[in-house]
Amino acid sequence: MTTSTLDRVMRWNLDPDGDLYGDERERLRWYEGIAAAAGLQWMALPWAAAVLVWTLGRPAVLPVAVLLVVLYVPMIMSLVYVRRRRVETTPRSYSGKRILITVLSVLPYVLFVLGACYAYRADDADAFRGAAIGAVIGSLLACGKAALDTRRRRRREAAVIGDED
Amino acid sequence: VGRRAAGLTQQDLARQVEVSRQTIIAMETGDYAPSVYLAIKVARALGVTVEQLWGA
Repeated sequence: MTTSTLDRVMRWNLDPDGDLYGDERERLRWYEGIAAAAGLQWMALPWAAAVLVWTLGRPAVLPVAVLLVVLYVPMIMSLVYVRRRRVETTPRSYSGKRILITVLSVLPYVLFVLGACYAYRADDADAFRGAAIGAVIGSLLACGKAALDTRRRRRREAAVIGDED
Repeated sequence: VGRRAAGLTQQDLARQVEVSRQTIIAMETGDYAPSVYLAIKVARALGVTVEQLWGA
């Protein structure tokens, strides 16, 4: 497997061969703590962004959008990284916890976009209604796509199991 | 038990296998399951096998 820029960035960040995080137990605990903090931030910051846009209006839209992008890029990076390391990111099933986390993670982005639309087009009820309908349709399409991907994963895994000795 | 039999303190063993004393304590109390690499290092430092230390 060739080493990509992403691998180098992750390696520098995780410092697996250095002493930035101490010995292997300390490193594991640091990684656990960092993962827990990142997981919370991935949910809390978009919610804060949604609240800020709805309460402060137009002046908050641009700076908060920039912060969301700064938050979003490392999230995508982590997704790309684990996929490149052969981790299947499509859920095998949707438990109550997974559904809750998905809703809590996605909803603030939808609310943020709607808030931004409202902040810029508050005088145009039709435009805002159109954005809201678009958000609902987009969410339904995303749910359909997720269900389809999960079904495909199950079929793929069933085919592999059936193929093994 | 293996460490005491080898006549080593937690600090001695920690120094030999290049981890902190807290990590030795965590392994002894079962709070931390070491990697295969560290388990082998500890076993070698104590002159026993990995199975003797962590086997059922």
